Amino acid sequence: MKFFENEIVSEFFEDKLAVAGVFIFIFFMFCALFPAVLSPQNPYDLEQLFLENSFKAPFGEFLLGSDEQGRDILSAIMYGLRISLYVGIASTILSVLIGLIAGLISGYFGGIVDTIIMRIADIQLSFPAILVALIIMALWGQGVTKIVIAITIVNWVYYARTARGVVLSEKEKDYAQSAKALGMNSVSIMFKEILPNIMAPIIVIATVRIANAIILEATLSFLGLGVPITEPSLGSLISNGYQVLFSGYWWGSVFPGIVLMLLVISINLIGDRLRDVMNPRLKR
Amino acid sequence: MSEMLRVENLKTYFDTRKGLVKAVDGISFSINKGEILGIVGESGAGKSITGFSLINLIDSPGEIVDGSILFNDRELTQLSEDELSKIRGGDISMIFQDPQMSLNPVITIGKQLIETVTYHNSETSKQDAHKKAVEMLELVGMPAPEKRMASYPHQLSGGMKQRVVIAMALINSPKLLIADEPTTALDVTIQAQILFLMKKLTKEFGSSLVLITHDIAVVAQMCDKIAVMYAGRIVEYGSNKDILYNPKHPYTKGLIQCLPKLNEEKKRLYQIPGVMPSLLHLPEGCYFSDRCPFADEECKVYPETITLEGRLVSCHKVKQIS
Amino acid sequence: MKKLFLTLTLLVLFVGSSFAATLNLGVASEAITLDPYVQNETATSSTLSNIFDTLIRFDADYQLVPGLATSWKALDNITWEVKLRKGVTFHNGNPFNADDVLFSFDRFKNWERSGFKGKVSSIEKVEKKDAYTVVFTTKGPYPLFPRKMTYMRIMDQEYCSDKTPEHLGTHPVGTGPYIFDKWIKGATLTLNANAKYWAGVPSYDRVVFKALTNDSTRVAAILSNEVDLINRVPVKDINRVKGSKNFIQKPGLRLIYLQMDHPRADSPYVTGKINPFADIRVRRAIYYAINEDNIVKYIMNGFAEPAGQFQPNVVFGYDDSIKRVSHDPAKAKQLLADAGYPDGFEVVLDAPNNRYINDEQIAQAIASSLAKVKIKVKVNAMPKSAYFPKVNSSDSSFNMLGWSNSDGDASSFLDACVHSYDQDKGYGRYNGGRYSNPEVDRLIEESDVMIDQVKRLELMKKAQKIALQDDQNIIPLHYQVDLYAYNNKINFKPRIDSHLYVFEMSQK
Repeated sequence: MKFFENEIVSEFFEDKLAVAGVFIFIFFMFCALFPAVLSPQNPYDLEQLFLENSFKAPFGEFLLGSDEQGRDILSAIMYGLRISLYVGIASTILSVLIGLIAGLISGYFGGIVDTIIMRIADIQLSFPAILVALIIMALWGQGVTKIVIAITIVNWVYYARTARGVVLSEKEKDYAQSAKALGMNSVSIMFKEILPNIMAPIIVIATVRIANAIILEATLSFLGLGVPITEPSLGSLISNGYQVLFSGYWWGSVFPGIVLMLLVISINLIGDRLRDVMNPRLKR
Repeated sequence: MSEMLRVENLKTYFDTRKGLVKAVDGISFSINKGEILGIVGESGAGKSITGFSLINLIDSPGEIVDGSILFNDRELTQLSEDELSKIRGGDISMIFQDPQMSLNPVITIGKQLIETVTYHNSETSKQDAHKKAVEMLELVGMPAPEKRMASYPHQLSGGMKQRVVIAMALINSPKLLIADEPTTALDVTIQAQILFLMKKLTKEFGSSLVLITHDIAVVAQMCDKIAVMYAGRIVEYGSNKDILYNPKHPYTKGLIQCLPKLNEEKKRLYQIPGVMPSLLHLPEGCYFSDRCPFADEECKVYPETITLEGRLVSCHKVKQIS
Repeated sequence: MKKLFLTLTLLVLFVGSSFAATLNLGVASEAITLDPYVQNETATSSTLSNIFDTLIRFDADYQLVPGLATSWKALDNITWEVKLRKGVTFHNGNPFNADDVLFSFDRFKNWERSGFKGKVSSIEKVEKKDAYTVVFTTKGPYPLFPRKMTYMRIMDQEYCSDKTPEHLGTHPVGTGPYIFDKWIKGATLTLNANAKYWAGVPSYDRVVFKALTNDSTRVAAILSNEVDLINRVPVKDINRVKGSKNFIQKPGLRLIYLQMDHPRADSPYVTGKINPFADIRVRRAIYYAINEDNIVKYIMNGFAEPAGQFQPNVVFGYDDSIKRVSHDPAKAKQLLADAGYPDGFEVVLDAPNNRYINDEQIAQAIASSLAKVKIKVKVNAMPKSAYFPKVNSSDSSFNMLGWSNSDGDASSFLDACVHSYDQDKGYGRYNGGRYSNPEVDRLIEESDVMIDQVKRLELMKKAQKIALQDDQNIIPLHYQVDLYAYNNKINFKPRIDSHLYVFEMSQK
């Protein structure tokens, strides 16, 4: 870990935009982790909702306004961030795991296994990701776990392809051969020798794709196929607000939209900077 | 002295799309305990493939098609991949051409060393392995070894890296070390240090060494025995002295003539005319015939290997030349 | 005088033909079929009301008025004599007479694909007295007879005799004010004026029903004058429409209400072993706890009417003396405490999310209202295709439903939703909460055979009073309001049955 302290982190923080990204992201993470402490209202606690507060304009009693049930938009955003980030991060971790294993196996062993895995990936990539996710969610119905799995199914391909590509070049390198000469078996070489070398590009892609997963979840929720209304994510908040957007109640859609945008931008800033500092071609 | 390794009629062929490449075509040699054998030849002569063949590390489409490799009375060509894994890095280890590439760039050298120990000795504790790794780094002349354990390969110089590679190769006290061009990628000044270190350490550890190189000068300094390879075959094989001071094969002669000699004044260094033929389009008869100043009709048939003055040599013209 | 009339008629005809007036209607859903007997469904009935006539029909105020019948009277308890209109012809030129009524009744009641069998199950038969007089016989005293006749659209016996049901479903021939021209399914249905219509010449030469199922498309169509009128204006778009178009709301016949599981001791979606809904105090507490005024105001944007009974006041059986209780959470809490639930309980409220206006939001607001009296409600909203099978199989403890009283008579709700479930007698078919009170059952059954309308009204009022006030069998929420937008070129008055009856509309 000293490696990171010494080089990558210090280099990472040389970029002001990236620093801004990190701060925004940490702030959002904090909101998502401790919404109960920070939010003025618990939007899930129906005892705290009053229809009299329906559609209150922002910057008054409710900082960011309220929705038709009298729910504080600011609080709903904090709780929504929690769901959005959970879906984004959980699905990314899952798809990285699956994609890495598939990519490693595919790239390292080649042959029929490679053909099968990569053809599945090709077929899946020939459909737009949103379409695949839409079909899955339409079949399964709403649910947080379901959407995590659906996004995983859509996203593992990207990691598998990247991992495979890197493995194909890495396994030919002398260190892999030398590991073999040192008596390591295939599994050890794959996971102990080659895997650490794939991690840099995978971490970069994963960072960017967390943002992508969050957008995908928001899109599905916006279309009513994502998380259930009782556990609103940023996407379902935007969707909810959109229904009354043209009736003058713009805040229900706009504020969650701005937060979603900032979240995605912050993650992309981090991802871009990570790519710059971790790119092995630029470094060594 | 007891025999450590005996290779008989080893053939490693590559069945490529362009045709069958006989990269190693029926070579034989042996090494005793503590002995250093040099395998010398031009690029593409099959030296490295010979080295890889010894631990059966030949990737498809290559394959050992014939011959035997007897290591401490075990027939390596007959072993399963599992059994081979135990020998690789344990009893036999290998050093690669480029130390830059043979260390994993994203793992600290300490971890790589420790892993090499624990992988073969699962009962060894992490602490013991760490201690052994530090000792080994010290032994290969690494300054501040304890501190260096936490370094990544790219933080070290080329010579230091090759020291690490040597440490890694020797850490499990192998009985046989195969070094494939261990100094080629290094500065000339470092080369001598590393070679000296390897010689010293193999003697200390009582290991045998197969040194694969294109540099006959290196062989001259290091080796007890020399095998000269040309186009997949050994053309001359014998003791250091016999080969260097009394070469019989015209190719060996040519190689030695290429060396600059300090005590002789010469305008230009000698060159063997032509290039080594492609292994896909070998000439009829003796493979060296089209570059050999002595070649004639007789050479249209590949020569028998004969014993002459204490060495093995494959040439029709040996008597004529000497 | 006669001369003047003739001149006027000619003038009207002349004016009518010189301006080939077309009315374009943007409808939220199109007819399912043009065979009038297949399915009792609002959009289908709305369309067919322009092509076919019934013997008796509801006027704009939901009063029974003559259609193809000129008069009807009960000869005794079980026979009704109906006099038919003379000189009426079908669109194909065939004259209308008693034979067509006999044919239509037979097809209405006995055709295997008829969706209206239930409407005439109490009517035994019809007989021809002469060419323009028919006599219906009911199984018992049946005061609802004239209302049930409003469903039976009269078809031409001769035309139908050699046509397949498929042909009849796409090529309707009636006696109505408009003649079928062509139907492009999913897009447009075109009708032409019936110049020989018995009640007068229709105002429009052509009527086009455009199926605009997408809310935004429908709103865009009226805003761009592509259509002259749309129905089902989305609540969220009312402000957009109001600026440039006429916007009108009409209290509808549909009651939105909550149904509770009465009899089961161990109800599936309630925490705890005892079913709290079995206790009248809990049911009443819920009634008091729900802030319906706020739901109407904030969720429905004011486009709904708080309901205090089973039916709106235009329906026969409405009781002036029954008022909605006022919102009183303190009283609700007291009732719950008395019932042994001072800390409330947990329950799942099932609701559709694509059937009634703002259905899911209403359910959420109810959950929010009930949370204030410590009843924790989890809303389980789902599409109607999944929702109705679930509720109809009693796989629910607490749910939200709607009932549209198209008969205009209180018996509609009382028979289907209040009377104990009784498959043999055909009562309580939609009484999913399985409320049951023998006294109420007796009153309903008695009212159903009471010919004297005054006594009948009393019986129905009494049944409602016991069921709603004493037993709190359901919790009424509100009556839906139909929302229309139309431009300045037409005179339009919405109907309570939501039908777009073009004959009642005219050019400005």
